[in-house]
Amino acid sequence: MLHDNALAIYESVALLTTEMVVAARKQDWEKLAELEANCADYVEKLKDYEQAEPLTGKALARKLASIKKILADDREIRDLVDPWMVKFSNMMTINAAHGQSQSTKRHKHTLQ
Amino acid sequence: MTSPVTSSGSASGLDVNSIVSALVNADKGTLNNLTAQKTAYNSKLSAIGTLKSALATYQTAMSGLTSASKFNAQVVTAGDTSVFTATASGSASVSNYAITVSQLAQPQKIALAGFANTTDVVGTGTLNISFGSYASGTNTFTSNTSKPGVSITIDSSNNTLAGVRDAINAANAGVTATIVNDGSASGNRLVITSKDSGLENTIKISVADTSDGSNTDASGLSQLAYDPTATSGAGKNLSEMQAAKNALLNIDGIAVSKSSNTITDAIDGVTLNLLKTSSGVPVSLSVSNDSTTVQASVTAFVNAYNALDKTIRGLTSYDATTQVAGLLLGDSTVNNIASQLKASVTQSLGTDTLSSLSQIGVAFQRDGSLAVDSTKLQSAITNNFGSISALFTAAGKATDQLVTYTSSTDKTQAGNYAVTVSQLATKGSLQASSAPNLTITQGANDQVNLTVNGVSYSLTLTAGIYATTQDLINELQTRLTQAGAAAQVSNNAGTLKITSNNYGSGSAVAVTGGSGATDLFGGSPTATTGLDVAGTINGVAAIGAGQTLTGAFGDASQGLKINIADGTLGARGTINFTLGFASQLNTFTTNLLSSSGALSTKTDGINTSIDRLNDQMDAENTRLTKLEASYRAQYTALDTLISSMNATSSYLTQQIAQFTANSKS
Repeated sequence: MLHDNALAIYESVALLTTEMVVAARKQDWEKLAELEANCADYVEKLKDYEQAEPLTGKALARKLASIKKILADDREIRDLVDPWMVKFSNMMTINAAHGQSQSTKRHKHTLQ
Repeated sequence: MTSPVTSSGSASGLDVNSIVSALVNADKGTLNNLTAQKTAYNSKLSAIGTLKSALATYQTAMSGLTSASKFNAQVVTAGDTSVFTATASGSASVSNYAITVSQLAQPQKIALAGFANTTDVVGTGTLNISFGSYASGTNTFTSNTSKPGVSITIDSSNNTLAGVRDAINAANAGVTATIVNDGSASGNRLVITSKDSGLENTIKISVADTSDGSNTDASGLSQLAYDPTATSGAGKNLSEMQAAKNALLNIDGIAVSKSSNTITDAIDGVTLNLLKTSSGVPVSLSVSNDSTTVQASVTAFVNAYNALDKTIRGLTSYDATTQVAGLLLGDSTVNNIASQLKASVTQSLGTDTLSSLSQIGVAFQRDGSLAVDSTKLQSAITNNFGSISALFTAAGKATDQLVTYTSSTDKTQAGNYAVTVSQLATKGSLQASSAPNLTITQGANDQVNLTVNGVSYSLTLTAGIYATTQDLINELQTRLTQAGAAAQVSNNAGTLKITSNNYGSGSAVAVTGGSGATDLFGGSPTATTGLDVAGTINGVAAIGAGQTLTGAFGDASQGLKINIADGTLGARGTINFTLGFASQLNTFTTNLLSSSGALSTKTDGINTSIDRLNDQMDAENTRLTKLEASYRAQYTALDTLISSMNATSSYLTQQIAQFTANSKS
């Protein structure tokens, strides 16, 4: 039963994203990347199953619940990763403005 | 989130390289501190380099002023330089002389005429060329003992006129032989000229003629016999072309006769070079002190000090105008050097008449530089000329006439040192045990091997029956001189004695073998090794070598060399050794610049610090490289993560969108 597989995968991914949130909170980027790679593998498989047999009824409701949970986790993970990316982005802005400035102080740059 | 245009193509749209280097730069504080420290150290090193080079320039200037001739130069003026020129050594008295030159010294010149060709054979045998004075009144010839005769062998290889000329010239016999052609049929003349002028250098040529057996007739090699006391053609076979003459002059009423035209011992401290007679007219000679040279030397001393002082000032002071501090401001080593320099030129020496620079007009100005008061200096030159050189150079004055100061080292301290002598220096000698055999036979007894002052010589005597012991002595002396041995052969009551020219324990003559050893020196010759002078300087046993006593290591007199020419044993007065300003400063700067000097110690310390900084910088660079790598890895991981999450979330969002669309339909 393919749709059972698809549903199982959704729920596995939902479990994985819970772990990802934990890893992101700990700033354990390595663990996070590892878990995310697993997720990506599942989602790749998912596409094949879903092409074959769309879900209906209860299964569909469970699927949607999983997706919502996954997307909520996704937002939380992004919220945790974003400051890092913001830091990079700020750096970017500074560099664009001053070239390779030899800043010797570490303080938060605000976005220009 | 801003996303500027970049070329990295990363998911987040950021320029990775810029970001990573910015992150690393943010962490470069420590490295920048280290770099700043290293730059400061290097500036200090280069400042010390500048100081060292100024000190080296100063040291060269001081070293150039350590010779007495820079301060005791004298000017000698001849009233007519076509008659004579003159130079002074620095110790001449300032005075005027009137000198009449009535005759110039000239060497004797004798000639043998009558050869058609230079290839004509003269004869074979041995020539012995010696010198002496000939007194015509008594027809006597007195040998010049300071010039031993030289023997020359003439055989089939060199028996032509040209061959004899070359053999004489090659023998270094104190004469020059030339062939002059006067244009007549047998016009080739052999001309023999003494190298030294003067009556005492009249030529005598004795011949052992093996071509016809007669040593005096006018044929064969004995054509060259020339005994001034013999009859012309019978032993005096050359004609005198020019007689030996002494230079005759009159100095302030005193008649002077000298064998050479270069006269060093007529006026104390003055060398005269006679050029022509003065036709009965006295020519003036004035000796005066060379103020110009002394002034120039003193000025050089002052200028050198000022140049060094200027460099030190620039490195150690704060310029209020430019608000720049000297790189060595407050450096204790450099401040110490500066104050030592100043102290050394303001001190008073232990010299007698003149003991301080201020006495000759050299003094500090208000700006800290030295200046010369030329009026004061000129008056010192006028009144105390003889004392100026001791003010600048190392000098030694002995109270005993036979004790002379030779030299000193940079370890020798100034002081007045008592001298005692417990043993005088002697020369090594070899005394034969019996009279020599005057018959020397080739291959039988013509070889003798000797060592003179530790050098071995193997001599071969010319075979023949020697008429007198003196003839044999002349032959042995010739061979020794030609071999380069520094020794004199003499006749001691009919026996041979060889004495080394040197003094001291290294002076020795020994016979070591050879077929003629016993015939010349007997069965048991006595070899006596020379003695070194022995005694004390400053109450401490000094090192004796030859006639030189050297102050002992570790004593104040260390390295002080004095010559004990002769005299009595026991107390020999004192030697007052003084170190003038240039000598002291030369030593001071030489030591400063040495590898163990204060400046080297300082640069070594700085270099050690720089090495340590380099190590720290290496470690810091390694850390930053690792940091950069970890930032890069982290960024890449996050970048990959985000793009993968983007793919997932867009797919899932799509699923929801689809469901919403489906449920609306």
